[in-house]
Amino acid sequence: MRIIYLATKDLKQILQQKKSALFLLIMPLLFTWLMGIIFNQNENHDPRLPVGLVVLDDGVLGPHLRTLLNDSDTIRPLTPDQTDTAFIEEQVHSRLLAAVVVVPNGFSAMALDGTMPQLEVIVDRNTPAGQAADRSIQLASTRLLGAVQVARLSAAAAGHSESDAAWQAFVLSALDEAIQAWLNPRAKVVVRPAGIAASAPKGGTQASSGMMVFFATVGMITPGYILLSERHSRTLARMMTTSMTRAEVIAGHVLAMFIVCLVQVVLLTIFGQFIIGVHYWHAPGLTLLMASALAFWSASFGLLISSLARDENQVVLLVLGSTLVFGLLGGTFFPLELTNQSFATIGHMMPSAWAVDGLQDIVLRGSGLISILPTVGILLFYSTAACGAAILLLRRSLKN
Amino acid sequence: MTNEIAIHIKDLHKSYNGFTAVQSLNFTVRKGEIFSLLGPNGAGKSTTISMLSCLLAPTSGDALLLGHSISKTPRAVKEVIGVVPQEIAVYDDLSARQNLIFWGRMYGLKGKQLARRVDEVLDLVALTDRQHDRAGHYSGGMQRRLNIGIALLHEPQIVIMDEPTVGIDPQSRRKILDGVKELNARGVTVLYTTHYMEEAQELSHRIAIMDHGRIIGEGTHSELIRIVGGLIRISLTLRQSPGNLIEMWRALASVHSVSEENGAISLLVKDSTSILPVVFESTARAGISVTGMDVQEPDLEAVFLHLTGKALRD
Repeated sequence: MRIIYLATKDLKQILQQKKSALFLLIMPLLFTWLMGIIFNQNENHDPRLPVGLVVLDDGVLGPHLRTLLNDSDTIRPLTPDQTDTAFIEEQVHSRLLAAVVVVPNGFSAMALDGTMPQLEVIVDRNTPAGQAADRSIQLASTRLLGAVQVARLSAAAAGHSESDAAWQAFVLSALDEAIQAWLNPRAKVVVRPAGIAASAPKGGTQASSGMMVFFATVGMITPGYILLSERHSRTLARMMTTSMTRAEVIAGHVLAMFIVCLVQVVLLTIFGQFIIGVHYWHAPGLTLLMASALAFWSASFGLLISSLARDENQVVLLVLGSTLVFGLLGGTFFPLELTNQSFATIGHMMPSAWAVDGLQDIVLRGSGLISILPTVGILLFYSTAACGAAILLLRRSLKN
Repeated sequence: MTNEIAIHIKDLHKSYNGFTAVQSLNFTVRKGEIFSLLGPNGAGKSTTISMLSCLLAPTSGDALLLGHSISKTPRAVKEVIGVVPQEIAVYDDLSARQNLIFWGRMYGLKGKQLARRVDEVLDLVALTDRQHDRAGHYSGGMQRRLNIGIALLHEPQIVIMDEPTVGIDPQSRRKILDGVKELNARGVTVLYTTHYMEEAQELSHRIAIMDHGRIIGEGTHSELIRIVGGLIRISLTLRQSPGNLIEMWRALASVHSVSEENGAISLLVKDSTSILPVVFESTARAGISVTGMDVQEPDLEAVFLHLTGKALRD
């Protein structure tokens, strides 16, 4: 019971501090909103690699190829301003275009006659963008020529010979259907975790979860002050002259920090749900579990900072300094998926990366309890380590 | 006061990083007694208090408070003591009442008992009128009183006070000293540390003088004074040369010694009441004017000087 009284006293003091509203609510809401706007603006931009498409052929396959290229997740076809080779090569060299596909004159006629014509592809295969574009162009080209082959075989199966007047009409019609089949396959394997948040804006999800994790630790500035002032005013030492145990005293302070952070995270998830449109509360149990793990990590972090700091300036410096490191490396400002493997690996040494992952797993990937538990376990590990270090420092502080 | 022992300290020793803060401390405090530890800053008083409050573990030795060992049963010790720390350990951003309620709960009080004790303590430390003001807005003296009040909430049998009057005005000091006496009158045993000899002299049944982590003298005030022989110093400043007065005074039976330094004459006497008329009569007869006079009763300062060779306030 005394743990609760101690936590209640801390909460009362935290709420009396003017800085609390700023660090715990105003700044997180403002930054989530701003980051949401920035990320959503980027979402309107087509992120696919630009690929030039030069059609020198006047047959039917040029438009079909454009359709298939446009269907790619990786590349988007553009028509270059000029079609001369030097200009096109310069565009690729200067990386304004990831590649250029040239459909040579007579390409459609040759394909429909049953010969296998070649597309001309100008690409720098030494670059990752060039390699990705090349693969997507090869895929579209294979699908196009496959569709031509299917159309020709269908015509033969229907009893038409190439000399028939109806053959060409049949082949063109079958070609249309084959192309449509590629665009809208009846059976499709989607390699994407089922999640309801497919409809949620990805930018909003990153901004909301990232800022939530970022400000969960920034919010420890005020609780950090409270414990620091207890050390300085010797009220902490005085508490140790009552029959409360050291564990009870630490638990009381951690509980207050935990409650502050949990309330903050819950408010931010409500803001995320209703203002940003991120569906945190489709799985309330899991969201609460992740919020609790995040709050426990933040409380332990706050305890560690207030045990380390010698004055109020050091609390601010240590909280903001370490939170920036956690934030920049741990993917609270940008998704670690956009970074290379080494950066992502280093990033995942930060507890913040796991917290963001956990929240996004629930929202974006619809993960269940079993999938979330390892993330929760890792956050608990970090929390326990921080708590342990803080207890050692506090013991030393009480002896002085 | 009874003959039962409230605090029994046995060979208590504390050293950190090669520095010995307290060495081989031995003393007992009887129930209902005010026992003062008197000594300059750095004498080891606060370290002793920290060990008795179970904040610091002794390097060796032990202390029993109402039979509970600080090493073996610290929790039981904490339940029978109230500690007034040297620092004002209160929450500035809470009112006196909120502070007392919080600390009362930390001492395990609740409900009506808590409310009653908060009211009683507010009354005892004379803060009832300002109970709803933030402690941070109080004067130093009021904060000191609140600091003391907190330690009394759970009605401890032993109150340990570590220099509770440091840095406050004389009026507040008077209130605190009176409060300590009142507390003691209710049967509470008080262990009091101070470097003000006047406080130790006024409050204490017995005093232990500490220096460099050791007790160098212990006893009642008069027992300690006897260490320096109980001589009273009379200092005289004369307008004219004393002539043969010094020899005449030396011959008096109750005069221990007479010395002259830089024009000031000092007489060490056993009884100032009988000798002062003789001194004035002899100077008047010799036609010498007395321009200044000071009578110094033997005090703890003199005892400390005698025992350590340095002044208490050095």
